[in-house]
Order: sequence, then C-alpha cells, then structure tokens
Amino acid sequence: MPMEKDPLDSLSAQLFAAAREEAPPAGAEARAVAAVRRQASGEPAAGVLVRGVFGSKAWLLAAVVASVAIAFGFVWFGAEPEHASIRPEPSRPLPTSEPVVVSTPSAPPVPAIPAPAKAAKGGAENASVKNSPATLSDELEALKVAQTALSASDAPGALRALDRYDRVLRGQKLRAEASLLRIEALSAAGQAEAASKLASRFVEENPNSPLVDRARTFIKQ
Amino acid sequence: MSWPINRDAPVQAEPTQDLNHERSVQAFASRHYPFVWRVLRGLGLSRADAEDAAQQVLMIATRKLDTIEPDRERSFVYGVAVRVAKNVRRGLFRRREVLEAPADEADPEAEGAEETVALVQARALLHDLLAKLPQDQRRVLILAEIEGLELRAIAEYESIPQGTAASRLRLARARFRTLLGTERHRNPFA
Repeated sequence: MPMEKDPLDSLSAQLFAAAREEAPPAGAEARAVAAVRRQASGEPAAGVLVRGVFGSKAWLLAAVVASVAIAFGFVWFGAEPEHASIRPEPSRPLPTSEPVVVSTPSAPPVPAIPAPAKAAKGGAENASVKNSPATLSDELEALKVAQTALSASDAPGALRALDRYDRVLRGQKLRAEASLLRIEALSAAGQAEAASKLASRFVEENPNSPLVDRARTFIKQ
Repeated sequence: MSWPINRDAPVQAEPTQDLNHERSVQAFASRHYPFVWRVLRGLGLSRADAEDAAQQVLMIATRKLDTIEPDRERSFVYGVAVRVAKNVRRGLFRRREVLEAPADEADPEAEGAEETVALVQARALLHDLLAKLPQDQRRVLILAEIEGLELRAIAEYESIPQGTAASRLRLARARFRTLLGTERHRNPFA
C-alpha cells in the first residue's frame, strides 16, 4: 500500500491517535438527532448555528414570498407599509464606488418602463430616473441583486445593491427585508458591531415583524 | 355511549413513515456522527463549534437520505462536513474569533487526570500543526492518519485522482514532520 511507504514517526502517530480517540461531548449525537427530528416536524432547531438554519435558500424564498404578499396587500389598499425605514446613517460613508443617481424635481417626467425580469440591475437604474415611486417589482429585483451577491459571499456587492435600493430606488415596500439584508451583509463583511446596532434598531422599531427573530440573532449580547 | 368503530378505515400511513424516517435518521447518526465529529475537529473547529457543525451536517445529510447511495454515504457526509466546516470557519473569522487554535477543553467525563492533560496537550499541538498546512493537505492527512483510510478512499472522498491524493499525502506528511520538529518540545509524548 503506497501510504505505508512513507509513514509518520511514532510521536506523530501518537498525536493522531489522540485525535482519533477524542469522543464527542456526552449526548451530542442524541441532541443532533433531536434537532433533525425537530427539523422534520417543522420546528426551529434550537442550538444549531444561526447560519445553518436561516442562511438557507428556503428561508429567503419564504421571506420574499411573504413580503411580496404583504406588500401587494398594502398597495391594494393604498396604505403605506408599516415597515421601519432603517437606512444607513447619513454621516456614514457609502461602501460603494458606483455613482449614485438621484432624480431631481426638474427632471422631465419619464414614462414608467416595466423592469425586465432578467436585468435586475437595469431595473433598479431605470427606476432611478422615474419620478414615480419604484414599483414592487423594481424593489424586488434590487433586493434579489443584493441577495445574490450575499449568497456569493460578495458582501460589498450586497451593500452596494442595498445602497441603490435606499438611495436610488428609494424603496419603501420591502424596507424591512432590505434592512435585514443589510444587517446580514454587514455581518458578512465583518462589521459585526454595525450589524448588531442595526439589528437592535430593527427589533425596536419592528417588534411585530416576522423578521424580528432573525434580526435578533445578529445582536451581540 | 360508544362510537361505532369503522374497521374498514384505511390505516394511516403517516406515523409509520415518520417512525421509519426517525429510525433511519437514528441509524444514520450512529453510523456517521463520530466520523463527522472527528473530521470537523480535524478541520480546526472547537468542541462546541464541532457539535453545532455536526448537527448541521446531520440535518443536511438526512434531508437527502433517500438519494444517497448506501456505499457512498460516508463520502457524501464527508463532503457536507467539509463544506459546513468551511462556512463555520468563515463565520468565525468574520467574528474575529481565534480559529486556528481551538479551545481544546478537556472532557470532564474522561478518566485519568494525567492522561487527559496529555491528550489535551497532544490534540492542541496537533490542531496547531494541522492549521499550518494547506487545506487540501490537511484534509488528506486527516483522512489518512485519523480515519485510517486508504488512498483509494481518500481519492474518492476528495474527488481527486489517486495519484493526486498520494502526492498530497506525501507533501502533507513531509510538512507535518518539519512542523513537528520545530514544536517537539510541546509534544507530551516526547
């Protein structure tokens, strides 16, 4: 066997043997099985790393679908959503190198162009030249860009997309989701303090939001 | 008053399915949990993080129970464990926690205080040395030296040709020897 041609010395072998003999904490396996059972029955799995449970695409899909449904409800009844508008603080420099396009009152009215489904970035930029509020699909597309960037571990890209959502699109309908994505993106970018601070504000201002539990996980004790 | 019993009513299948699933999960965990735990520890996670991560691995893997070929279970679980460990390490790094030298707390249930101290020291040294290896070399060394796998299995687990596995292992051992030489004074068995 080729491996035996190049064995480690006995001291090294003893180190590896020590690792081989290490047993998991008592009851760890039973706790894991219990967590799987809870997962199968749809209960939240206590004790599992936050990312493992909430970082899944299923969570995102559910959140987006729920948000769209809620937002459509508000649009239908002509009411503004009660989501908090947690925007980045004005004094904080934007983590983006891209120019921010802001529509001015003197700009000629441009007819609304439906955002193409595939061109998410283009959709957001089209909305920037509109005088009318961004449509739900514009906002959704912008958040999809942010989520895609976050999934690809591109936290700066996600923050740029969220800045576009805030400053260019001036999104309103999916503000809570945008805030939560920003919290995640900050955390992913290593800015745990900023994420914690934002998460605290989110929880204070949205005590009844279904996203509160997730936001809480970013608050440092 | 007694209610008539409908003896022709179909037997509900759901509880049986649940029971079967639970048994499969239990059996799956028994087969693979210790392996997953060792791999995660070998990849640099602390005992606490390894427990959380092993739980994640189990949750992910058991969702695919029906699709895993029985003779590929172990390599599948290994692949999941490597990915989960990577995510956990990334998360820890973001939180700026010490990763490469995991707190190797002693297991209070372990017997023999002197032996425990020596084992803890040995594991701490091993983790320090493994942390200095490139990840691909670290993984093959874990599979070979902790799990005792042969090259064929290592190549399968790592999805690499056998020759590549052999050369990685050779490099890993050579590097490990060199590193251990510089830390020999820390080896409790020396």
